[in-house]
Amino acid sequence: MFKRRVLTVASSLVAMALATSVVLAASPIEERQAAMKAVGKATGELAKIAKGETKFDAATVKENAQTIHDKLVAVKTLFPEGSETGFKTHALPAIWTDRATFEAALKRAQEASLAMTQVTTEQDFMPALNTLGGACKNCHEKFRKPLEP
Amino acid sequence: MSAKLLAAVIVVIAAGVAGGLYALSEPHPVAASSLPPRVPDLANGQVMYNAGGCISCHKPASQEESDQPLPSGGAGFMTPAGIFYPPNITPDRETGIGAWSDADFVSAVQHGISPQGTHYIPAFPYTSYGRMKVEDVLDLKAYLFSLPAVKAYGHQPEVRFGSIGTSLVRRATGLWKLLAHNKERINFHADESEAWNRGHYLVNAPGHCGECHTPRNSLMIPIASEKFRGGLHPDGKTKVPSLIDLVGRKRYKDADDLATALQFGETFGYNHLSSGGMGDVQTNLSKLPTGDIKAIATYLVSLK
Repeated sequence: MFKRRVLTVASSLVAMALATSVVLAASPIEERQAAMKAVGKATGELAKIAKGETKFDAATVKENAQTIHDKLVAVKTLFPEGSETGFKTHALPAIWTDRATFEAALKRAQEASLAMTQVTTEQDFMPALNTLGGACKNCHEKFRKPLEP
Repeated sequence: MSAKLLAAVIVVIAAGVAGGLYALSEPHPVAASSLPPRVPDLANGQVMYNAGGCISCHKPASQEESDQPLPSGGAGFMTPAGIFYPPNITPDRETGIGAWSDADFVSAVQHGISPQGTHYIPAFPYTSYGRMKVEDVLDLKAYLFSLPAVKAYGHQPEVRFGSIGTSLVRRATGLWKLLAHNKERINFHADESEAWNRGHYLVNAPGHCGECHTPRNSLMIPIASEKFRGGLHPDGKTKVPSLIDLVGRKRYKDADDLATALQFGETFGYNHLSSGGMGDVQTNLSKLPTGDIKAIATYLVSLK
């Protein structure tokens, strides 16, 4: 009886330790980097249409715009206090010192990507992409270090 | 030699050196008579305005999202000497440059000398603009004078020891210019294409790319042998990327790819072009004629 209780306690401790280590392994920095990479990939697909490398297709646009939107919603919580440095982050300190501006810039990109999910015609595509590109640029200008070298 | 005599000699030498430095730092504005006659070409002036990126620094900080911002005075520049504010360059006579003569404008843009005869600090990139063709500078003035006048009073510089400190910094800038102000004209390279030569001019004179992309030595003078190899960002913390061998380093596929990037930026997925102020630069460059954007790309990919 006693032995079993010890075993239970021990195994739940192990489980807790495991759970903690899983949380620790995925730093918010790595998570946001993965999310932004996915955004970049999806944006690349939209850019191919803009460049005329692939044909306009409403379903492709919607799918990629949805990916961009979902990831941009997810990253909002991935810049917590304490994630300012490490993992070769390109995040600038302004994210934490000027949070309101950062969140406004992110919101603008979220809204631009949401608008892109609603695009069904080729005619509406370029204006929506311009707005989205402008929103990406606006945030990167202020809150991301230049890439090296 | 008595101690008194020695002291006197030292004082005389020091005064001589100070006087010499003071004389050397004397601003020399251009004379109106030295300017060529010019019928202004507004379209060319607009090209120079966008290539020169005037709006990036002279736009009001509060209006950053306006589609058609006017250069009525910008946010402060943090420099080692203090904070300096880009002034109003709309043609308002009282608060802008509306009362400036052609000679005033050329002195300012190409020689870094204000109409009051003081040196501008080189956050204003006259070190590059000094290499422009004077005709292009006169066209730029005509274009600026075609913009709506905005009444906007600028900020005084914030320098230690107030106006005396500011005067000293400006005077010292005169000495710095003797070392750093390269007024060498952009020569035509007969063995290169027209596009390359146009790009060479746009990048090095109005475009002033080297101001950030070329590293500087301890005296803040660009290092000629390290041209375009990547410098320190004006924020003093981050690095500005190198422009050397952009194709070989797989940054861009070729000149056309770079031209597309400069023209469309993030809209076409070129997200590397928008960090630390380069997004603003790209916005300005996107307003150039396509031929000029291609010329810039042609020249840049040739950098080895």
